[in-house]
Amino acid sequence: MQTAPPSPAPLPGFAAVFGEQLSVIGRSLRLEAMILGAAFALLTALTLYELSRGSMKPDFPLDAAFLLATTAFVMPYAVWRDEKLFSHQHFAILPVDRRRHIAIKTLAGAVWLGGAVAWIMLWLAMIGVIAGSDLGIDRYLVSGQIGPKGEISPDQLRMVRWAPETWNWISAFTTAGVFYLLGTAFELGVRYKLRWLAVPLVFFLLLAINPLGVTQQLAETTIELLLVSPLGLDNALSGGAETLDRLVLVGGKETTAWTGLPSMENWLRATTFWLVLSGGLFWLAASRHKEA
Amino acid sequence: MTHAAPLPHSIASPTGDLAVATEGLVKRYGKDTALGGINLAAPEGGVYLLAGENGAGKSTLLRILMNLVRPDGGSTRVFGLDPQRQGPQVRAEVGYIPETHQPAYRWMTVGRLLDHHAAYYPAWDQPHADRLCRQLSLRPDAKLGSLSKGQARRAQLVCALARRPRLLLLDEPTDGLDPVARDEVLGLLSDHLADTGGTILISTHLIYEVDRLADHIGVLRGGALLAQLPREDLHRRLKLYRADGPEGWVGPANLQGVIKRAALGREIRWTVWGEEAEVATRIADSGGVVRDVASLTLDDAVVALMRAKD
Repeated sequence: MQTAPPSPAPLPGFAAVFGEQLSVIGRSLRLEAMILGAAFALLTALTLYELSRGSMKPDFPLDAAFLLATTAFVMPYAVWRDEKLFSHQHFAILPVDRRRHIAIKTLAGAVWLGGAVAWIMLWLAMIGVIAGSDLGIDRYLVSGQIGPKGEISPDQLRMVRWAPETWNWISAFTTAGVFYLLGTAFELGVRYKLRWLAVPLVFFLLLAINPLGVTQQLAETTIELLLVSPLGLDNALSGGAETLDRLVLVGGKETTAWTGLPSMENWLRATTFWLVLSGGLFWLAASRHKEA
Repeated sequence: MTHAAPLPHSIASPTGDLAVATEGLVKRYGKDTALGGINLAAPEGGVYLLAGENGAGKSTLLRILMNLVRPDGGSTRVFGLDPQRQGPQVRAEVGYIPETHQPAYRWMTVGRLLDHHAAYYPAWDQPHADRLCRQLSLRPDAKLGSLSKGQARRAQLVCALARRPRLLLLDEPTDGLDPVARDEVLGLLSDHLADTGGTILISTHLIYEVDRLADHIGVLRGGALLAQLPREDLHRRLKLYRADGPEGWVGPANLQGVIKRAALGREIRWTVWGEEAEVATRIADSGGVVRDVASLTLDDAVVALMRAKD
């Protein structure tokens, strides 16, 4: 009599793996979350105190996008620090396709990050409501012709109040997403991370030495492309709200002002570019750990 | 004069099915060859002991079976599955205990670790896991980061056994265990075999510790599989012969299968791979008197094979 071959061992489903990774990451980030929570509580107390004294007019914190981006970039370190991906330890032994497993864990981390961003946005909105503020920001806006060297007359400048629109609230999530993906790509793709510190060191060294007098110009061009070009990070983070052009008033006095209002089109274009770029880098990095 | 015969390389499976099969498996690290064309065949059911010195390539072989290391050549099958192409399916069938004791998540408790595994293995049997924890004196509330080497090894064993995999790949499983715990673990492995009819592939250089379990033996040395055979064949065909003869007697010329020869006064001792009657006749025909023929312990037999000339 022939016995039937044993049925193959079942594989875990997406929901089981995702739920478990959500739980593991949540616990792994507990210390960081407690520290951030304490800092946030202090900030809330100080803000409420200032609001109660009437000495504060809250606005949309464009500068905080940088802080959010930095946090999102370093978060993957905390997400992946236990996994030791390059030495193929516990994570690699589990019965899930490795690249898929990495994608699921990354998604689980993104859910925590998204939750934190949502919490911050909610907090900000509540501060706005308590203060009776539209969270708008006041900036000078230039109108009319600008001279080749940025010359303008003072009457071309007018103060405008710009209040954040729906897409500005969404941009916090996309900013966090882009930098989270970039950080994850770095975490997954680079084995010896400290060696990469040499890159900025060499960059700044070259900048200091400025050989042949071209490094300075190259650096300025690179930074301009990276930050304030149509596909630059400022457009991705805020639709161009942080880009202030340097202008020269009659008489030689320098000032800065918007040459146009932040726009959803600018933001969408740049954000799409950065999401595709960071997603591609993430996929390349994850592919370093694929099965065969 | 002595001659070494080719060592045995064939294992006949009672059912013809192999749990693990490799053909010409090659792995190199730079200029070093970790595995140089391994043809391993571990039959389904029973325990295959992969013995070898440190650095012989045992761990590398196991890591290739789990698709943790990519081979440079040859083929690998685990229950007919290719670990490189069907890694998740292979890992679902295998309970693997790596050489390292370091837990992935030091903050986890033992109980939480079991939950973690339960999420990944639908076949997880929680009552069985709880029973194993009790048998191995593992407290569910103990933190992994505070476990001793032996306790960490026990936790790994529970994780590997609680889902009753068809194949256990154990890399130095008794490393770090005290004698009592070792006995307990070997008992659990025996129970697992009786319970599941599965296969265990144990890699170790501490042969005496797993002596009572092994059904088949494979001996690795310097990345080459010197021998693989059923245990009873090893005991039946690899024997120590003690003989003495007249002054100046050196034993039979061209005695086939000699692995080791040592002279003590007029007594000569041979460790020989061959049929006992044939070897004894050859010695007697050369003028010697065979005083004793004895099977080697598994430990001595493996050491003899490891020391055999190519």
